[in-house]
Amino acid sequence: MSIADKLTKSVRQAKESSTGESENMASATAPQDTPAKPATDTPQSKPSASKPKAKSKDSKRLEPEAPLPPLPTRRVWPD
Amino acid sequence: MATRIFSIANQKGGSGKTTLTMNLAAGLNKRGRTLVIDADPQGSASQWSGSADEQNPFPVSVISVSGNLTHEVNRFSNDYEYVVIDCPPTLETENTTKAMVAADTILIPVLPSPVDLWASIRLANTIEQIKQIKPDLRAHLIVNQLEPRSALSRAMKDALEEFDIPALTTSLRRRAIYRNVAIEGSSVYCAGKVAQPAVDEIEQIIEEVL
Repeated sequence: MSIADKLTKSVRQAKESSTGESENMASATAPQDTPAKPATDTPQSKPSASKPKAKSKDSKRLEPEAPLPPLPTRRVWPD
Repeated sequence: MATRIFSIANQKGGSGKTTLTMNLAAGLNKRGRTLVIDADPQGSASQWSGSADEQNPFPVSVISVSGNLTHEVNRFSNDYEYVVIDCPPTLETENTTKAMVAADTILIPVLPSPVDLWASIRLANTIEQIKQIKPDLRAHLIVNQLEPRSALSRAMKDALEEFDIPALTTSLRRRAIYRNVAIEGSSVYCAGKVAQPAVDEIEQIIEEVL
């Protein structure tokens, strides 16, 4: 396989795994984001600029917190 | 005339954001009044312009912004035809997102290396999200430090086609003059005949993006 083919393949794989990560992130945040949307919610076609960033922060925070019981969470990750 | 805002972004350090910012700004300044906004906490663009002699200052004003970037862009943009924002080397700060949202055109310098290409994928995803709220946003990859004789550099063309963001046809070659003008606090436009090939590259980039 040529360098060009290897490079292209590696980029394709990185892109696919990046897409997978985004999907995982979305599913990890889903329980927090989805409940009881009020009727006045912003339509999907107009997400705010900071929304992707906020989502990623939430998902990062969820990963280490998930296996821990509720109370120690505050001690492990103080605000 | 509406201000054209260019954001030079890549969360990977050392990709050539500041080099592109400063030389692009110098070239744009020949077409209209231009401002550089240094949004990188490392302050490389400010350092660059601060390296200039008092007799030969960098031809473009550089302001450093650590607060609300949107506010500063709105405040200054009416006085300039072109604004070039040197973004922080991270996607984790608000100002990176704000710089990309404020931009008409995002330019992403990438080195001809697999690691740099992989790192750019996340940025490309972020830009796709911003395009949902700003469909007119233009974004281009620019190969930086191209070495035409290197097999890896030649392989870039195919690899870049994997991105949803198009690459400019012009690349920046690896040239010592780009580093030398940084020391002088200058641009390739002020470096004489030896810098002419670099000037030609920057001019071609400007023609492609304007």
